[in-house]
Amino acid sequence: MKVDVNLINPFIAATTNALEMMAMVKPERKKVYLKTDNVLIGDISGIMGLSGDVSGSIILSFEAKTACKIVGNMLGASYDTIDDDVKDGIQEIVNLVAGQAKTMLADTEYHFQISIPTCIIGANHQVNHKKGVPCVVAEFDLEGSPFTLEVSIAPKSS
Amino acid sequence: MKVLVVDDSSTMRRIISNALKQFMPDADIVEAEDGNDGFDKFQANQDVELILSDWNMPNCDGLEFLKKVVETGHTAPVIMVTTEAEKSNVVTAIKSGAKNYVTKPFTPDVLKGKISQTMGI
Repeated sequence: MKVDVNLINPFIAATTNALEMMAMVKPERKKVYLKTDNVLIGDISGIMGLSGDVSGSIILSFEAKTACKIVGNMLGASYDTIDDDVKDGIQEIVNLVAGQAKTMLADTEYHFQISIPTCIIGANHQVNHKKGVPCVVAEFDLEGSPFTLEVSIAPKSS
Repeated sequence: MKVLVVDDSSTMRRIISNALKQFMPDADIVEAEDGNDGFDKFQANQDVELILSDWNMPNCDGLEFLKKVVETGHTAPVIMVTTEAEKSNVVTAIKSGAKNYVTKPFTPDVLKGKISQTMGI
């Protein structure tokens, strides 16, 4: 199945925009590639399901210290470990990313609805995206720490 | 001024509250975690002067909450604060009685501007 960059790019743009505006950080996008395994790079991953004219899911995966910094900046607080505040904060970030991408794609054939976000905690956790749908990974660098955006999404007709 | 903030994300409720405190340091902020909780808190706080509500929430979404509040005839303006930025959704909310609309993500200055515009302050 081919990957439509017009479907992926809004999620990449939304990631940068959400983090810059809500967490006052400037992530730098690095490489973009097709994922070949199910392991996430981070200690915490925010997940959002997508449905409608497209179906699939997006995941933002962060190291603990990066997640703590992002949420700390959002809330004007300081976090050393992943607690309930950090979990909720990461879920909110993935909600913002999905919501913005949804708006960017609203006038295209890729109209979709978003679910309530969830998150997974723990090193080397794995998530299976929808079978047969390519997963595109965008790697970012945030002040020397990597995080990833995974977008596994395809038109429902495919 | 008493302000009701309705959002299922505790993070977003804190972000909004922190932003409100920046330009309304004396604001009395009441928080609710979904539309049902929001309507309960609204009924228990009839002196509320401003309501900020998310759209996508479990247990009664923001649009249903908005309609319930408007149905009471209460004068407190409702501002939707949501990722639902498509024109059709904005139109739906305004036609349902929302007085203004803030798209997430937002900066504190944007929120302040929308509140000032809505309240005439």
